[in-house]
Amino acid sequence: MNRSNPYWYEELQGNPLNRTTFTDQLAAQIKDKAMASTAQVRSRKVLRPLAVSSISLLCLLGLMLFIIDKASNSRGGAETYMAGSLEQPAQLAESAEGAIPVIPVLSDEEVNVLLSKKSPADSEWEQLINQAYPDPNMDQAVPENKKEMLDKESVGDEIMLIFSKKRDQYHRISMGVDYYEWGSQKWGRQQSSSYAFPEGPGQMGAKSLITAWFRLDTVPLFCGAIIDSRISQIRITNKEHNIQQMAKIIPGKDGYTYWFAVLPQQEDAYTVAAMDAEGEVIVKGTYYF
Amino acid sequence: MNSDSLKYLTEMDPFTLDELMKQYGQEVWNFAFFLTKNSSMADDITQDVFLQVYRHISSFRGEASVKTWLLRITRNISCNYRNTAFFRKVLLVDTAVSKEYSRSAEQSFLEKEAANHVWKQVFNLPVKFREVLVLHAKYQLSISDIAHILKIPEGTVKSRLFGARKRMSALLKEESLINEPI
Repeated sequence: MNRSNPYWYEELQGNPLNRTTFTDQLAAQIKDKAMASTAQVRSRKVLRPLAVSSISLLCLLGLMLFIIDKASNSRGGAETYMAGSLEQPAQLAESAEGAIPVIPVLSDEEVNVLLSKKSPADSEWEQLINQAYPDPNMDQAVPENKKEMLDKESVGDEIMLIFSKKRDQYHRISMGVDYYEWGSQKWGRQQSSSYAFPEGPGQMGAKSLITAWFRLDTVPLFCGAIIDSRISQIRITNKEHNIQQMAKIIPGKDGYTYWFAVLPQQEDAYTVAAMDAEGEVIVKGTYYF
Repeated sequence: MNSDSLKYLTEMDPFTLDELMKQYGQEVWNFAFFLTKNSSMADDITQDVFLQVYRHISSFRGEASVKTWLLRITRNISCNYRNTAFFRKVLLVDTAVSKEYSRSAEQSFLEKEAANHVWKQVFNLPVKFREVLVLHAKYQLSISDIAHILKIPEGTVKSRLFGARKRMSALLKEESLINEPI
């Protein structure tokens, strides 16, 4: 024993309690939760490439249908564009050789078929969010200008929130949420909201975290992007601290890391705390609804 | 398990998690309990610590020992839990009743379960003294490691340790006077 330590130090060498408290049951519970969280991340990693492959396949089909129609049809110009197919206006194909519009324009019928599915695939949700209210200012030929779905979250059985991002022509990244509600045997897009921030290093000044907050119908939600690479977790709490939610963090293919959180109930304000891997708070802010 | 075997990991496998929990699970739980004096909160905190370690193993750079790193995370998470519990206690209806009930429930738990009379007195210390003393006496960490975990200067660690020992000596002396046969 170190002579400079008091005699009672020896009594503190063992466990403070009479019984073992870190039980096998607690260890098993922790391991189950760890494995469950790994499975969620892995399924997301599988779904995203599937979504990309599905969209690429649809584009290829669209091109093939157009080529077949062009070969069999002697009319030209804009009349070749027919509702109900994935063909593109002949004008576009003739004026830009090899240009393939990457957002397949679905017919109303095709959109309705997708909306009538109770559980559309991620690739189908991505098509839907790009069909609704297409941006007339958006250059349809630029792949990056389409909305890329990042995640989805259901609120009960009747509400689906689709989180997405896209780059606009002002070199901004726009993060958005589309709110769909199930009714009369189909999904209906009720509301949407978006927030844009300038892209590129140094554009956000000294900001560590970009935060946008919306309320769609009665659902409060947050989304944003992580600028400070030390941030690995984001916690949202209400004033009374009886609601505590961890945000979903999604690394984007564009090098940015995005985050979302859907809160369970309306409050006057929520506090967002961004922390490093050890739980130390890097930046914190309170947002009022 | 040493820091070398962990610091190059970018992802943790279940076997490593098992080994880590086997080696440090009780220590993490103990420290969470020292800070909160609440066994179910200590369960939750311990769970959060190991889940965090499992998900963010790549953040461990080997600049501290595995034990120091785990205790630092435990302290951060315990502080968050204690802050939440404090607000919950202060803002709930019938606060005085619930606060008194939870304090006496904690006391009777400690009376029954504390391993010896010295531990019982440690739990009577204010948390700032308790955490420094436990890290020094039980975990046998250096002053600099303790400063790293608590994110305070080494001088502050020394002065709190001095204060903790002085308070403990007084508590143990008082206890021995009370228990002295007449």
